[in-house]
Amino acid sequence: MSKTTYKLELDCFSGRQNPVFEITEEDFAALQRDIQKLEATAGQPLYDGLGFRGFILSDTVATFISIQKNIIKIQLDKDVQYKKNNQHILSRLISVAREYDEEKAYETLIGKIAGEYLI
Amino acid sequence: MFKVTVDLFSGRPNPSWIVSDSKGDELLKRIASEKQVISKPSAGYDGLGFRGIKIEMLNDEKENKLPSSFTIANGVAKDQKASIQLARTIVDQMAGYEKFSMDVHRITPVNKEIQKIIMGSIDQYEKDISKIRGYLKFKHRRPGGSAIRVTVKDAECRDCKYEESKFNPDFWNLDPNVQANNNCYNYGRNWKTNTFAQPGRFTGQQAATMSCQEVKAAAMRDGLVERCSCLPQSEYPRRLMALVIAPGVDYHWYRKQKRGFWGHKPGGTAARNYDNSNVLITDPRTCDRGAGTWLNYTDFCGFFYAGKSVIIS
Repeated sequence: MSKTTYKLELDCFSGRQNPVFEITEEDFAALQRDIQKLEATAGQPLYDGLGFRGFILSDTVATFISIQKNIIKIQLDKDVQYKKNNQHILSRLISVAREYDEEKAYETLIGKIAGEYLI
Repeated sequence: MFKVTVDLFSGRPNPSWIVSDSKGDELLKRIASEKQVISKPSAGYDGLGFRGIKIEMLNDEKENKLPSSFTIANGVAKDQKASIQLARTIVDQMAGYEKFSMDVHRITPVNKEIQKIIMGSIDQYEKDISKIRGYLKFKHRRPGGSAIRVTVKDAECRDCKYEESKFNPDFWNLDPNVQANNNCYNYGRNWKTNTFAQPGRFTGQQAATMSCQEVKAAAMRDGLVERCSCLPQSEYPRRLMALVIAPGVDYHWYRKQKRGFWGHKPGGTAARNYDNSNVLITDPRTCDRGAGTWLNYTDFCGFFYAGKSVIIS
């Protein structure tokens, strides 16, 4: 059986490939757990144009969590839920991205994301 | 077994009869071997006078692999001459089919008088066929026509031509794997590689930095040329593309479509023809490319042609 891969993607580019970090199962599970505790909200289209489109947290198989500044879309197989996002989750995501960007290749980018998303 | 209806009259019911004999079988075999004589019902001439003969199958056996209904001699069949000839043959055989009685026969009987009227109208239709075809061409015209791709003269460049294609976002958007694995460069070049193609990758040297100069050079190594360096007809189809840059960060491409707008595909998101302000893109130089945000594709690098020989990967 192939090993599940857990990823945190910064969905921002059009031409270049997005920065993607392979993260541990523990980090993925902890984030997923905390996101699931958030308040549910009505579904709405997520921003998908040019520019920063948020974080994508996934196990690359069945769970895809799209995280934007104020809203989170959780897709688990065919089931879709929406949650109201908060600053705590955003801070955690930015910390995880910085932690896994060991070579600091995306330091400036992550800084810009923090500037946009964090109050 | 099939029903014949001659689309002719305006007030009274059209002549109609049912065919269920060996002559009918022969007729269907003939039509099946000359499919260029048939067209879709309601696709053709709709004015006064003879408007074609409609054939409707009355059983579900799909005999001779013909459609369940079709029309002969309504102005749109591929072979007009053969179609008119066939129409005359069908009407020539109508005598004797009054035995299958239909309600309309009380007002429009199947007899020699009606046959003469129909034949006369087919003669007139044949005389007027050029006018009828001209009318149909006008009736069915749409801005840009229905062609998937058209060749246009580049208004900015004397003597240069390129091709604009019909906007077809479903090709890129319906399959999640296609959407995720093809980016703006794939879309601009109009080539689904499923590799998230990069300028210069195929030719072994991608852009070292995200600048107009570097990305443009990489794309030109793939075979793109600057606008107004005309591509010959042998490079058909030739796309008109536009390149923009978020300096130091990323690049983005647009492609000119039919009907005066541009299409694009931001990374793994959906292909679309509107900008960040949800406005139809008529000029990539002035559309919203991230205005007011930190990831703004501020630099317009230029327009390019991408011909058939451009390979991306």
